[in-house]
Amino acid sequence: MSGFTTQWRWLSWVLMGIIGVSALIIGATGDTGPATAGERRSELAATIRCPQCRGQSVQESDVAIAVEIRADISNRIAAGETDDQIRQVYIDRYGRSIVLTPDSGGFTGLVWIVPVVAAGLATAAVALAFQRWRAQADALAEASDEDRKLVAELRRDRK
Amino acid sequence: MKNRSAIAAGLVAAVVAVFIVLLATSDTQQTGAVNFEILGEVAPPIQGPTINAGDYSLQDQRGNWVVVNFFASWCAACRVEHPELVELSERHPDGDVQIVGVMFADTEERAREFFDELGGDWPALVEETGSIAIDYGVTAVPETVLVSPSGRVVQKWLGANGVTADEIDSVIDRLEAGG
Amino acid sequence: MNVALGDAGVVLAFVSSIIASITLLVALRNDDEQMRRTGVKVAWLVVAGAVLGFVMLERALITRDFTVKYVFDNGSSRTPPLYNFATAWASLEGSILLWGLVLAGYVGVVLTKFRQRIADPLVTWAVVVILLVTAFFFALMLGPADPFQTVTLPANFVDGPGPNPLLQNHVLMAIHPPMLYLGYVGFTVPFAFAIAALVTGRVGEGWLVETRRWTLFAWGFLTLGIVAGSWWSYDVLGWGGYWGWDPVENASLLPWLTGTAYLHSVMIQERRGMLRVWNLSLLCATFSLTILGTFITRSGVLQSVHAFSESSIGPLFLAFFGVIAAVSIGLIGWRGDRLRAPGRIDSPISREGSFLANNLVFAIFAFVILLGTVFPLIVEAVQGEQITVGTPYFERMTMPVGMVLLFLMAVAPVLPWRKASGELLRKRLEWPAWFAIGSLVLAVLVGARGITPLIAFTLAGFASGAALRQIVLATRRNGWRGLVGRTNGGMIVHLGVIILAVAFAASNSYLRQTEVTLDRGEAIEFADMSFRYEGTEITDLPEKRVTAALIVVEGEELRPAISQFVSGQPVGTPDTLGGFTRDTQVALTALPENSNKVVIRITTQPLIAWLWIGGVLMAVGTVFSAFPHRIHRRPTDPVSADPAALVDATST
Repeated sequence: MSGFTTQWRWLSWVLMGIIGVSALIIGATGDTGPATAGERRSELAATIRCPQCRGQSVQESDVAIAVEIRADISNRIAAGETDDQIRQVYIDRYGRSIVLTPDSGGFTGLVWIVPVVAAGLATAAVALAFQRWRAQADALAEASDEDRKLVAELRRDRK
Repeated sequence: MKNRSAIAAGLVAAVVAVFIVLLATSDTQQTGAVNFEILGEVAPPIQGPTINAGDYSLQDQRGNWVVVNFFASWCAACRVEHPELVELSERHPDGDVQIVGVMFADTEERAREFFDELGGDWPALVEETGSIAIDYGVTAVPETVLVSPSGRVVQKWLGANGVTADEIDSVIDRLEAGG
Repeated sequence: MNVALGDAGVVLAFVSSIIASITLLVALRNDDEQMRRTGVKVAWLVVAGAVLGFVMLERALITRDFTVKYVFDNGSSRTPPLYNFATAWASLEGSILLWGLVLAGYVGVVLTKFRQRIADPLVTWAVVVILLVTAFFFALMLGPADPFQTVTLPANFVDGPGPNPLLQNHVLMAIHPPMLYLGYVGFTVPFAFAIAALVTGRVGEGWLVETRRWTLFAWGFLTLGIVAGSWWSYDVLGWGGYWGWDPVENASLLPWLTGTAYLHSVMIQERRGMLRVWNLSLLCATFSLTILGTFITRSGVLQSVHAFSESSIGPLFLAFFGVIAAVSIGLIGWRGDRLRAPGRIDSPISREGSFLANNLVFAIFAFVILLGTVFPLIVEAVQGEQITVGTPYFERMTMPVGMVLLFLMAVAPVLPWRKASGELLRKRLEWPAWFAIGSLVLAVLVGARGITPLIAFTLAGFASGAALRQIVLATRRNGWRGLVGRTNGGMIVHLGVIILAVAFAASNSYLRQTEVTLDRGEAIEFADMSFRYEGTEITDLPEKRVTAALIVVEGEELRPAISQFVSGQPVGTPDTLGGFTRDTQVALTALPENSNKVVIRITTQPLIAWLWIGGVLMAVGTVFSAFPHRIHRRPTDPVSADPAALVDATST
């Protein structure tokens, strides 16, 4: 491979990097939050559980209470309450289970932490295993005198 | 080598066993949360125009027992319990036990029709959004809440079960006696 | 007559499965050829019994024999024929009978395909295991899940209620459950062979590899079943949702995840004899998870829109799950020493290393979903508190896992076995990397914003580039045969997965939804489209009354409707304007009081069609990968040359 081709190869990767990062920057900064109050309500409603349903959010369900809660959320948004305030209002009235996202503190926070810890432990275990295998393979690299003697013996027996 | 396999297998088996015990001892879940968060709390305000009695405020009823009945004209169970509430209101003409109805997801016209058809003369609020219902943690109709003379929520009935004049009276008597 | 014959079928299947198992076990013990043949014959009676039972249930449904309790509870003279046929699996007892039928079908196919090797103890053990599982399911039908109970008709009986309205509203009712069952139940076969291999100690031969095709078959149908379920949800729910992270949905995904991991990991076992503990564990886990999934669906322990009505069958499934888990863990633990591989994985940057990483990622994926699903139970047990773990949790936790998987899909196919150098990687990944950047630029150009979906699209481009590179190289080498065979078919499946992942990311990130009230003749603008309400149309059918609203969207007529059945809740049916790049769905949120005003919900999502395209591509790729691209040789066949002669030839 000529020097020029290798140079071009590196250049092409650098070019890729530049284009990629630029595109990501354009893409990331163009992202605005919810465009209208209606969309903000939809996003918020998607995090609140419909109390009468089996696991649907108030955004999805059409039972009477879901419709009422959606309307109530719209009113609260118009009144200027923040997302967190509105969620807290519902937690006060319906209990913690009204929110579809589990709390990140306390015992409930385990549901967020345990998978991350498990992933970390698994990666560490595999890394350790690879290290151990590398060490074992290295230890075997040199043929010992005993090995040589064994091979010589076998070759003798074969003739 | 054998030991390591045995230990690993043992650990996995222990985790699975705990998992199975957890599933075995879990109760089956009911549809929708049974929401009693409001019990023991100060009753949230109920305020606003009614269809049959001018403006109403729960605050003004301090000193009396108040039965707050969330209902709707399209709800079959509400029709079942309504006669019992009529009976209750007739038993307490002097107003020591008041009733107030809060319409849920319905229109004023239909509320009037409902009362015309089934009777009852207590104030009934029709609100535009269900904010009073949400304040009381209502998940479906009918739900009936008993507010003590001191303004606290002391009992909640879901559905029409147990919402009889006798039942409500006996609960009130029990609480008055118990203090 | 229906009940009598139906019961006879169930009893026949149950008794035959027990007798056949015992006979085969005795034949194993005594190495008795005669007994073995008898055992096989009795095993065929299981198939006969299952077919008889199912045919009788269908006959009862079709003839509207309401003296059969199942028909009394679920049938109706008004239900249209297709849905009436599908009512056989609309309720608990029938669904267990369907499971039994599919299981018996697999028994028959196994007996046929392995008829020349039945003398092999390993095959005999596998058949015994399948028969014992069959016995369990038919035992359920003799007890708590009996589809053939009788009922005396009350004096004023007119008609049955029909199945749940949600189950007679869409044609996929006839397709989704059978496909799902072909998948779930299909995993019994490789599981049985895994147990047989562990019991006989013959874990070194290619038996696990041999049953890979069975696993592929089951996996393919499970994939189709899950995708069909998503399609059904999308068509019916009304808010553009197709995956709700509902406990039953999660339960169906778990065996799919471990099954996928197995399909990859077994290639390492085939090539280098490694990862045997992983493969056996993954197989046993896959089957156990199908039983666990059945438990979750039928026990009521977790709330779900998909759950069957509660019954006493839950604890029995849980107990069966416990037995399966105990047997699997016990056997793998016992044979652990025999399973240790002679070789080691030399380097993490290698095909083997990436497949090991793949196993880990899928294991974590499954763990996260399982944890999230059962966590409310844990919290309730420990703290007595009720919490909900819903879509926001699952989306946030599985998103990074999905990204890692996309990355692995990009890198693993170009990795050589044993070891890779940086230069090799750079050379092979250059093409896919340009594809990745191209995808990113394209996404930004069409208006996609937000760093998370953009990274997803970049990785998707990266992975597709790697898959396409492999396919292009293979077709250049072998012509059309470059599209079939394990690796190439697998690349097509990967493309399907990638398309599905892109669709998932795009539709979730760029969903727009609103709810509006429209007067007759009024139009509104939303998401660059106009929606005009024209009026309501009411259609009366024997089983339901359909109230539809005519909405004109950009010149197209959509008719979202609400159907009121004789019994049960009214059911909404949205109408969708589909397209290659965008779907617009309109749903009626409530029955309109009069035709002057309607409240509709409008949902637009990009790339929904790509979900189904990706799913179909996955199925096509699965079929292609089952095709042999070389002359098929069983790994357990003896080699053609005599080893001793070979050594002599090379030593001189």
